[in-house]
Amino acid sequence: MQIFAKLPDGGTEPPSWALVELQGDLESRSATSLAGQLIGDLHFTRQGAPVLIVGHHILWGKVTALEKPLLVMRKRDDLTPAAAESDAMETDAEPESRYHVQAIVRNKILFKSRPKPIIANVPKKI
Amino acid sequence: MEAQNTGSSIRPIQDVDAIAEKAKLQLEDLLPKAQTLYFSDDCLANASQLTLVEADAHVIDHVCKGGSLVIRGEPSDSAVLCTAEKTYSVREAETSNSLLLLQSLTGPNEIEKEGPRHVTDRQVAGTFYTYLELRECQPRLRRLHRLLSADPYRGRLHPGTGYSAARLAEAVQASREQLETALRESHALLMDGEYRFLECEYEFHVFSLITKFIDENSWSSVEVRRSLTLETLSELEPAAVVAHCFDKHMKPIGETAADGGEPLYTFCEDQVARLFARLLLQPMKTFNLADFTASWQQSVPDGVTTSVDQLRGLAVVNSEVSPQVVVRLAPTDLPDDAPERFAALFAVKQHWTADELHPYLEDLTSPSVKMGSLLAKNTRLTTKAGVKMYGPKHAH
Repeated sequence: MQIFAKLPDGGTEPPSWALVELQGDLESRSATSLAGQLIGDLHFTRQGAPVLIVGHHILWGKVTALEKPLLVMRKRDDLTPAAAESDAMETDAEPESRYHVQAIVRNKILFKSRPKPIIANVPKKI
Repeated sequence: MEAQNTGSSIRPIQDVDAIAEKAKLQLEDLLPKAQTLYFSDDCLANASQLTLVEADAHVIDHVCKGGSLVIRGEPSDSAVLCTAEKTYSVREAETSNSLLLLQSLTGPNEIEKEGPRHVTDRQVAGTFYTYLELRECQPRLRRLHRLLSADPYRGRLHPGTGYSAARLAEAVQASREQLETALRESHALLMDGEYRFLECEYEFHVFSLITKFIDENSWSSVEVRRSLTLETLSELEPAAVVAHCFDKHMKPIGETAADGGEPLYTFCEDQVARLFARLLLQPMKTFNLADFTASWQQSVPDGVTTSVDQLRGLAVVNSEVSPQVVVRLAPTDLPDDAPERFAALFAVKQHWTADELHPYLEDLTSPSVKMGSLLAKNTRLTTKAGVKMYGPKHAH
């Protein structure tokens, strides 16, 4: 059997997407779905260092080039089962691609240190 | 999606900056653009529909030129991914970190250094904990040989089972280019759009027709004419088979006949010798070496010299027993798995030269696993009379 993946029709260089790598996992405080929820604010210092504020935590990271880029493949849902079925093909024509190469990721913003808590200013009170 | 990504935030920049100051960031140290990350509404669906594949320069170049990546194999095989030229083994790599994928995000170098502070919303398309790792490997061609050997061509009445290039591409874990090379190197017959191997005895029969025709014309072994041979013999056997058999066993000498200027051919010694060796080796697995080499040299046509080197990939000589023997051994007879492969080889004989082992191990090597490291891992090196010999790691 063969499963084909290629750029959508007529594509050349796929668009560049971005990747943010976090240590551990992001969980919602309430057990609800994460879809649509706010994660946090990303800033860059004038030196180009990324800073991410997530809830009461701050993360310092760096922008790095991936040693090997990542291709983002999307499974197509617009194919009829017959078009995607390449088994026992007897022609030399290439069957429809089941995956599209949608994007390429060449860089990532890596936050590899543990998040640090943000401590609010202690009010000056005597 | 697009509107969300280019539009400004639903949050005012003052709120974003207030949080940044609470985190003890100095706003004047930051670039003017802040970006707020959200999980997109379809992030869960995306995570199941998107796959990240780590790719080297060759794969990316191939994709950007509009080429297809093809995952090949039977459901029970470990998957490979092929470009038009190369084959990669596919492995799922897990990471304990979360990989957040974003369709757009502005990097520090793309942000204007000056200007009013502002904020843009960014959508995380999905969170990933795995990606596929590709490692360049040798094409897995053993199935090709098994398929084509199972039911070979034995003449018009027994045509056997042929396979179109498209059917082979379905079954064989190799790139198109590697498959074509393998078909060429294993001398598969292409007839009516299908590939077949010739059965050994039948191939010998067709070759005998050629040598008989050479004798009938009283040609010497260096003045064989191709077109006349094919024309005459295709009355007896299919033209494609005769041409295939001729081209496999004969080669042009680079001179033309004095009468008419037709190119002259002679025997391709190694191929002819191998054909006779295969036929002689068929009835048994082990032969007395002296008997074998004598009858082998006697059987081949005049002008062909046999030598043990020509048995590469067909048989090996075992000098550890007395008298010495030759053992029929095809690479496809051996197990796929490396340790089992070595065990099977050392069951044939205990000590091998690197050259003898090579045809039986080639397919286990890859750009990352070179022959040297494969041998170092699975064998023990000894030196016998100045010759490096490889034996089992744990000798009994």
